[in-house]
Amino acid sequence: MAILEVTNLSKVYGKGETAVHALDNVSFSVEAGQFVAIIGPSGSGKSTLLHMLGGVDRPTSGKVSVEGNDIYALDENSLAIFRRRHIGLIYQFYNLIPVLDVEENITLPQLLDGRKADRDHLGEIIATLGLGDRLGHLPNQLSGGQQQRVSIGRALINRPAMILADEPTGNLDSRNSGEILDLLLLSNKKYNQTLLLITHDESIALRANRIIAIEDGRVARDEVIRL
Amino acid sequence: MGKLLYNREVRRYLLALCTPALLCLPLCFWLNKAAGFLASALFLNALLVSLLFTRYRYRRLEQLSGQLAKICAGEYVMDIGQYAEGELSILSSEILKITGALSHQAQSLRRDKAFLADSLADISHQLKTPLTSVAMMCELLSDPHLTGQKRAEFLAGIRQGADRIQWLIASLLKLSRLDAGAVAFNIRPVALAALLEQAASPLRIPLEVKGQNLRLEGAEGIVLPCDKHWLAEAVGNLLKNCVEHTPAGGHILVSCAQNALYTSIAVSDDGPGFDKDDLPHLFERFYRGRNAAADGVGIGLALAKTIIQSQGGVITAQNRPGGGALFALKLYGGAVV
Repeated sequence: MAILEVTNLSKVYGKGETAVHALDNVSFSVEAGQFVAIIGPSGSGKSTLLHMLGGVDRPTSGKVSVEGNDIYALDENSLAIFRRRHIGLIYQFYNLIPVLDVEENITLPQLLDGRKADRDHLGEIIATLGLGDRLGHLPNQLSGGQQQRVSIGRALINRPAMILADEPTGNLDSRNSGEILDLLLLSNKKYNQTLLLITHDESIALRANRIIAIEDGRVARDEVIRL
Repeated sequence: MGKLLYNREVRRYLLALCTPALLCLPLCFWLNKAAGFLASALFLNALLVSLLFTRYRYRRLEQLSGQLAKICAGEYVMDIGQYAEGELSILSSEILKITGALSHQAQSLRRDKAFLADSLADISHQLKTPLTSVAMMCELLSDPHLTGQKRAEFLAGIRQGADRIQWLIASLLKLSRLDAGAVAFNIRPVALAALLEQAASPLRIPLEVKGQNLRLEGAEGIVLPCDKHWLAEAVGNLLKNCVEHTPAGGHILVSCAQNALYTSIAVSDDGPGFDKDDLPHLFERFYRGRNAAADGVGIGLALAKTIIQSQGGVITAQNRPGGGALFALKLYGGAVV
């Protein structure tokens, strides 16, 4: 069974003559554990698509099913809670909470649930990301690459069904980009984590299992490049 | 309501709640009738509300148990449940995650079975070829009118075929043991320079024959946690691939580096590089590229990749910007095994 099913997804901004069809009847499905790269020129609708998948914004029409659940059948609050527990989001500009230290930023989704972090799982993630000696630091005391690693930790902590990453290496130099991508690939293999990653960098896209190319809000190409 | 009383904790709760009330309420009445009625009303209200609330919670738990029972029976039901704050909802979310994990596991088991069946078919196909040629040579040898030279030729052919079968079986056995996770890696701190020496030693002769030059760079002083024997084999397979695909007089370079996250080993040559169509399939079992060596079977790279991945490493292949092939190997230290 697919972990993600998108059916006839459309998003229109504005009305009448000034209407912008950001997404036009997009349909595809993703199996658990797949690493999908979403590529396309600027303004093609990639980020809009990712926001629809993450439940961050509502579509105009169409359906998004995560683990068999239609996420837009939920109200705002329930959707926020669903997103917190089942979806991990990684952004280009990190979006860490500046007043919380590294450990608190990583465990934020669990803190919001009112739970205490599972120390073993947290320890494993911190070791994998190489953040062991930075746990008490604030985001402004970290380099770009380290901040992005904290965001990855935050995305992983709740064992989400899938991770959505919007140009996670867009703000990093090539060496850091390589390391971040390796970490994402590692969690993809180790936790069998489904990963959908937007990128405009072909070399990153070529390391995925599958490439979906979006143009003018439509799926232009959808090919599996490695099993 | 009766069902609630089945729960021992509910009975104790009722006992703890009602006993003081039953003792104190008559006292209230005796002191002041009106106060007595008020106190009774308040007590009955508390009792009713708490019982209703408890019943609601136990109903939710019953629902979740029902879901778990279905999962046990293999029916992976994913009910969206209620997404609200609070412990019950968190429990429901965790059950959803378990259901997802179980159903995906079942799927991947089915896929593995299919893959295994395909592998067995591949293996028997691979073995058939040298076996057929050995059988044919035996037939030809039984001709009483053979010259001594022909006889020697056929015998050499049989020897070659037997060697090949042995090598095939050994490689396939390694692959399947690695696949099944039946290999116990002996992870120790290993000096990288020594490991590379070990990897390169079986290739000394082919290197000399082809007049190729092998250079090692950056390995001094690097120590990494790994299984020396298996990793040397993996790196050896990469080197072998380079030696085979680089023309005579070519150069092969192994350059190494280490940082806080990983140790990297880059094996590159100045040969023709990889065919674009081959790139996504390079590490697939039995995949033979356009320019495959005549007796190559397509196991060397697949074996290398499996070995590297089993030790928590990552391997990629690409064409160098200046021409030639590049295998980039990254081994993450013990934290990520």
